[in-house]
Amino acid sequence: MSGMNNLDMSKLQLSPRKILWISYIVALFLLGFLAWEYFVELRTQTTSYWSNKLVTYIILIPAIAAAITGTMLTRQFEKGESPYRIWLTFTLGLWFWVAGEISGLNLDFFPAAAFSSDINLVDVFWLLGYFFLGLSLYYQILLVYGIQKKLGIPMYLGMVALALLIALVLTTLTIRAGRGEGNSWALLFVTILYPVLDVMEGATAIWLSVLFGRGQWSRPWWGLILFAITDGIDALYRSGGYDFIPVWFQNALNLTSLVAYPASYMVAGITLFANYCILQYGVESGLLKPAKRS
Amino acid sequence: MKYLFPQVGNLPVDNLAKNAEAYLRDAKITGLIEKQLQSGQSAVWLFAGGVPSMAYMLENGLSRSILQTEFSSVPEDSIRSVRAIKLPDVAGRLATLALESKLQNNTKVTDVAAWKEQVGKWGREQWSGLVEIKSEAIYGLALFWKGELKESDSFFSTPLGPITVFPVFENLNDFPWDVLAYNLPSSEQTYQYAALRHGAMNWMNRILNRYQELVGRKLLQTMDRELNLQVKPWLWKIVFEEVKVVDSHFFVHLQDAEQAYRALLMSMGSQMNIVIGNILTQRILNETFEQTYPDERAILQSLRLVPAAFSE
Repeated sequence: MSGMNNLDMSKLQLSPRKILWISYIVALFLLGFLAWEYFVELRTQTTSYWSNKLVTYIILIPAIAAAITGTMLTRQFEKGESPYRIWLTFTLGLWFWVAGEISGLNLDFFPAAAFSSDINLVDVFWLLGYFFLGLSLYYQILLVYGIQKKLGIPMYLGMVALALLIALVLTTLTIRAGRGEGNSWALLFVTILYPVLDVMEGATAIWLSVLFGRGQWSRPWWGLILFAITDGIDALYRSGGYDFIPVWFQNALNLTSLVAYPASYMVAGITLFANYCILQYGVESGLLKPAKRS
Repeated sequence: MKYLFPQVGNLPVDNLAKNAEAYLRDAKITGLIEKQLQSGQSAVWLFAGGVPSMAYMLENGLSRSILQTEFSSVPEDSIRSVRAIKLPDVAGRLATLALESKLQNNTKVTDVAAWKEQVGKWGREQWSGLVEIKSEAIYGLALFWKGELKESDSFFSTPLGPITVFPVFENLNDFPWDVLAYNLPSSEQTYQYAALRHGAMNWMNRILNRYQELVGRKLLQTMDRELNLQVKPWLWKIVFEEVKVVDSHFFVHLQDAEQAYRALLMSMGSQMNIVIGNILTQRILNETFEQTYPDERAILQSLRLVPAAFSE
């Protein structure tokens, strides 16, 4: 881990700025590839199992990279410092999502990982990821507004309970409306819980992003906004919203979702790495403006 | 009659009357030249980092400012003795305040307990003023700001050498002390300079504190390092260390101090803009600005050292 904590840029002969540029280019290339893959499928009207898997594996690369850079960033702080717990919980959330991605892949090969036909290990990891990412946002809000620490975890647990309650009410309303037939209550509840969590976390991330403006510090939150967009489209699809929109718009939404999903990890990973470089190398990182010398 | 820092030895210069001025200018040091006159008066000329500052004529414990030419043209035959000493910038600043201020009261302090009681009283009253302490062997000037003794604005000359830390000074046990309290005349530039300095330092310290809370120690240290590098070519004796900034520089003119603080606040704002964005930077600047004392805020505002000036 100490190697992870201190990258020796001089050995790499690359400045943090160059590494970031290379990361942007690689990210754009991967996103371009995914978009191309989508258009090929659209044109040929065929979906191959292995091309789907390839997409999932490609997504895994930025997901792991984001979790690693999050770890590197977290290790830049001492345990007593306020940003430590923000980035620790953010990174834990990312690692849980990585675990979710990996278990999602393995589910095909090890079906025993599924708890039931509706809820499986993937959901557990996803929900844990949401919990920690939400906690990270919550800590950041407390810090920005200088709210006393004593509000702490109980207040956050209250918010989680509120999200569960909203999902519960919506699930009940959905069943009463006669929708979601053929799905178990648990599957319906989890399906509704995801967009509820997305709305809460996405809105908080937007709020923080507006507050931080273009500041480097909050850019990892942009990743969460992209996740919320992806899940929003997914929720629209699952709730039958696609029945009311034309095909071209459905395709546009599908493409957006397909690109925004890996892009969210990429944005989180690259911006976390930028923050790491600022902390590790200061002005020498080339990401900060040196003070005027005369 | 005021006799500033008597324990400090003369400059290593022959014929002080003629050569002290050139020595102070060339070596770019802070100090003072004092001409004791046959008439019982004395003329004092202060230098800040080699730059001539104010000159004063002292008589019966009262001082009035005079022109530098007036100081230089004192006839040689009317001079009884000449003294020229080197001082730290803080002592130079305090000397100016001492020569500009008006005596409020004069008390005898017999022991540490009585002194602490007096300090407690000033604290309760939130008193701002200058204190001159004299005894057989020691001499000191210390600034009280809003009832708080400012260590960054204290200087004592003792037989053991200069001391800036109050407890050490108290423990010298050279009682009784003659304690003279001076009121700071708010209309004078010297007072305005003190208010500006404390206002700017107070504001900057609060900004650094809040910034550290948000981004952690490492980024704060990066900002400290940059600000310290910025200070260097200007030879300002301002040091940023973690969440504390200490200004030990003696700026001759209020405008010089204003320019220095403006440059530093601009750099702070610019670094913060990049890291935490302009909205949050503006928010921190506003919040911390509001936490300064009203009279500090007033002078900062009068010089347009306001939050809006330091965030994009």
